[in-house]
Amino acid sequence: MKYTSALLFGSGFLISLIVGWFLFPAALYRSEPQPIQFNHKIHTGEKGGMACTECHTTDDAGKFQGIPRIAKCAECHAAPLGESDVEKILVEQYTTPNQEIPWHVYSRQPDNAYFPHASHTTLGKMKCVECHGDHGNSESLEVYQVNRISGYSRDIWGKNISGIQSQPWEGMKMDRCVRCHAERSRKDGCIACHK
Amino acid sequence: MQKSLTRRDLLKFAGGSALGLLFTPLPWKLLDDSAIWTQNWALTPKLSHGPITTKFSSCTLCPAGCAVKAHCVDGLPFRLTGVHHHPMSNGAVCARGLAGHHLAYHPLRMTIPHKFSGRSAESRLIPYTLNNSIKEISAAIDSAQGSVVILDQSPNRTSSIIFKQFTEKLQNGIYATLSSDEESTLLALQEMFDEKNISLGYDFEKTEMIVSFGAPLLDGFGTPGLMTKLYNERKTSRKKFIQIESCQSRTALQADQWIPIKPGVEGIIALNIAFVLLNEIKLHNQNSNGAKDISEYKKNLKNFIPERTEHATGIQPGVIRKLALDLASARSSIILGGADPGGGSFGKETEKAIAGLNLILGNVGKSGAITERKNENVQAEPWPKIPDHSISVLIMDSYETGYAVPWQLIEQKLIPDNNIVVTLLPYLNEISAHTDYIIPTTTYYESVRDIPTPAGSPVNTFAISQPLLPKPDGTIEETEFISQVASVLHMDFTIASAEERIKEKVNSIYSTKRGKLFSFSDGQSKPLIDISTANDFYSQLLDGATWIDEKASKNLVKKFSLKADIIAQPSSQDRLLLIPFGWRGAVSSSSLSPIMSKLFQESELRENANTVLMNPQTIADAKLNETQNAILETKSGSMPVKIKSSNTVPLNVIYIPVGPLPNGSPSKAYLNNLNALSMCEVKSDGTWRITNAAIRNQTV
Repeated sequence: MKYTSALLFGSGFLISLIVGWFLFPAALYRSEPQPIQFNHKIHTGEKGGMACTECHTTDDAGKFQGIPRIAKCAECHAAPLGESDVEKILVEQYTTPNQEIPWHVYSRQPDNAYFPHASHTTLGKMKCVECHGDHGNSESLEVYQVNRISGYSRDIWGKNISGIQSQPWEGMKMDRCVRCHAERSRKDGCIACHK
Repeated sequence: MQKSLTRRDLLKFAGGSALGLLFTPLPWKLLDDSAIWTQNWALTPKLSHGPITTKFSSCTLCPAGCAVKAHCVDGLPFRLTGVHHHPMSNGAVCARGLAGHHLAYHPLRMTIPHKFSGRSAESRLIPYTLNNSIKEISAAIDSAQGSVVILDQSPNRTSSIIFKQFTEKLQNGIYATLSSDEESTLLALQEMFDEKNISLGYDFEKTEMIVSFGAPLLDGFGTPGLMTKLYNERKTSRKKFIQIESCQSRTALQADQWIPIKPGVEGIIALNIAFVLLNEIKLHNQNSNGAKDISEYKKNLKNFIPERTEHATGIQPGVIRKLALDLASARSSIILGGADPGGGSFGKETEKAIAGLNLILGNVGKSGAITERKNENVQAEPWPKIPDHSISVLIMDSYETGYAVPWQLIEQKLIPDNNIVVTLLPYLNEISAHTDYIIPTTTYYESVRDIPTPAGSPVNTFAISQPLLPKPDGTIEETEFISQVASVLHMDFTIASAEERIKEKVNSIYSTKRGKLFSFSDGQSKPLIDISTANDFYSQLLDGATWIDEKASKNLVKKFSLKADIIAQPSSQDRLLLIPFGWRGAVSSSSLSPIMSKLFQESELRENANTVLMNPQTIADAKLNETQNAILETKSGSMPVKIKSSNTVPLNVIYIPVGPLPNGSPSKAYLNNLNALSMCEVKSDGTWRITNAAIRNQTV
C-alpha cells in the first residue's frame, strides 16, 4: 500500500519516457526511399576525383543550382558505366528518356527562407561540409525521413529527436543560422533570409 | 487481498505520465512542428518547385518603367530584380518594385465589380454585375447635365489615346489628367514660354549642380536607379546636391548641403536668389534675351532683397548670396521644386519662381540642364482647369502614379449631390471608398502594357511590360470597359486591342529610324536603323528592351515671361502647421505589398500613417505627452494619432506621413476618411501642402 502510489506515479512517468523518446519519433517520421541509390564516394574519391562544385554548380550570377539535373548525369552516364542494377535503372529510366530524377532533398528549406549559397561559400568562405557534413564521402543515400506534421525532412531538425546536435552540421533550423551569424558578428534583419 | 484502482490512483498515474512527458522531446517538438504545419495549410498558396527560368519585363508601378528581370518557377514570378547596365534604371528597382509581383495577391484585390449602396458613412460595398454597372454608367453618361470626364492618372499610354477619342465623341466629354508632381517645375517653365507645344526634361547625368526645393531626389524621385547612381558617382563627377527644405528629409540628410528653411517660403527664397543673380552678380546670358519682361521682373525683385525677407525665410542673406554665386559659376545646374509624393506640388507662383531661376541661369535648352524633347504627349485638360462643380460623370482610370491624390481635390469638381464616380482599378483604396462603382482592372504584370516616356526624362523612351501572371477572371481592361460603354450608347467607336495599339505605336517609332534599342537579355544597345523590320522591333521590345530616342540637338532659345508675381510672405507662425509627406508608392491611394508594410511597421524604416513627427520643443510647448495617444484637429475634422518627437522637424510644425498604411491595407476607419490627406485643406490652386492644425492628448 505504501508503495502503490509511487509505483503508479513511476509507471506513468516511465511509460511517458518510452512514448516520448522512442514511440513518438517512430510515429512522427515517415520513411521514403530515394528513387535511385547514389554513391557520392565513387564520384568524389580517388576513382572519380570530382569536387562537389563540379556537379553542384552555380550559374553565371553565382546562384547555386541545387541538385544536378539529369543532363549533367548524362554527360558521363549516357550509356551504362558498369553492370550494376542502379546503373541500369539510371540509364534506362532517367538519362535515356531525359527524365529528371525526383530526388528527396534532405536540406530542403521552406519557401519563405532564402538561402544564398554563393554568399556563404564566397564571402563567408564556408566549406560545403560545415553544413552538409561528410555527405560527399557517403557510399549510399540514407532513407529520406519526412516529418508527418511539418512536411520537412528529418535532417532539418536533426537526427536526434532531442534536437541536441552530436555533429556540428546536424540540424538546419533558423536557430542554427542565427547562432552562426552571431558567432561571425553578422547583424542581419528578418529580410536578409525571409524575402 | 484485492484492491481496485481508485480515481486517486488514476490521477497519480496521469501525474506521473504528465511529468514524464515533460522530460521527453514530445511536447516541445509537437509545438514546433504544429507551428510549421500552420505555415503549410492547404489554403496557403504555394509556389511550385522546379527549374528556375527568367523572363524580362518592365515595371508599371510608376511612370519610371524600370527594367525588370523576373525569376520564375513553373512560369510564375517569385522574385524580381533589376536589369544590369540598363541605361535608365541602371540595374536597380525600388523596394516597391521588388515586391510588385505580390500585388496580384493583395488582400484588397478586386476581381468583381462593386457598387456602394449609398454615399453615407454607413454605405456598404456590394458586389455587382459588370453588365448592370455598364448599363447604369452609360445611362448616367447619356443623361448627364454637366460634363463627362475621364481622369487619366497615367497619361500618354496608348490607352490614353482611346480615352481621349471617347471623350471627343461625347458632346460634353473632357479628357483630363492630373499632372505628375515630379514635373511641376517643368510644367511651370512650359507655361512661361510663348510657344506652348514643348516638352522638357532634366539632364541630371551631365549637370554639375542640382538645387532642389524639397524634391525627394534621393528617396525615389524619377528613376530611382539613376538618382542613386548619380549620387554614388559624386566623387568622380563632382556633382553637387543641395537641398532646400524645412525638414531634414532623407534627401536633406544625404545631400552635400541642406539649407533648412521655414515651411512655405520656397518661392521667396527662389526670388531672393534671382535678386542676387540679376541685381548683384549682374548675370547676363543668352537666355535672358528671351525674357520679354526682364525690366519689370528686376523691379519686382527689389521686394526680395535677402535682408528684407530674412525673418520670414529663416535664412541668413550670406547663405543666399553664396548659393547664388555657386549657381552663377557652375557650368550647368538644375533647379527644381516641390513634388513630395504625399504633400504634392507647391503653388503655381512658387513653381514659376523656381522655374524662372533656370531661365535666368541659361539652364533651359542646354546639355547638362533642362533639355527639350519631342512632344509626344496626348493633349489633355489639366485637372485644375476644369470648373468647380461641373462634372456629372467622372471615370477615374486609377492606374497608380505613386503620388497622393486627396479626395477633396476630386470632389470640388463634381456637381454636388448629382454625380456618378466610377473607378477603374485593381484594388480597393482610399479613393475608391468615395466612388459609386468600382470596376476591377488587371494589375501589374497581368496584361501587356506600354510604357511611355517618364515625366522629366531628357529623351523620349518606349518599352513594353510583358505579362508575367495570368489575368484573373472577372477583371477587365480599362479600354474594354470604355468599348462596352460606347456600345451601350450606340456610339460609332471601335477600339483596337492593346496589342494592336501598341504595335501601331511601335510602327510609328520604327518609321523614325531614330535612337537605339537596349536589350535586357544581353545588355547591348543597337541603332534602331539596324533592326530589319518593325515586327522584329516589336518582338524585341516584347522580349525585354527599351527604345531610347536621340537627344534633341537644337538649343531652346524662345521668348518667355518671367512674371515675378508678388509672393505673399507668411504671417508670423503662431499656430501649428500640418505638413503631409510621403514616399512614392506608399501614399494612401497606392497599394503596397503587405509583406513590405509589415516590414516597415516592425522595423520603423518608414513612419506609419497614423504617427506624427514633432519637434521636442513643440511637444513641450503644447504640453503634450508623447506616450499617450493624441487627437489631430483641422478644419476638415479630427483623427487619432501617435506622437513621435524628432529633432529633424522645425518648431511649430506637425509632419504627418500619408503612408505606408499601418496594416498595409485601408481599414474601415480609413475608408471612412480618417486619414492624413483628408485632414489637409485643399486650396483653390489645388495644393494641400500646409494646413493650420491643433493637437491634444486624448482624454480617456
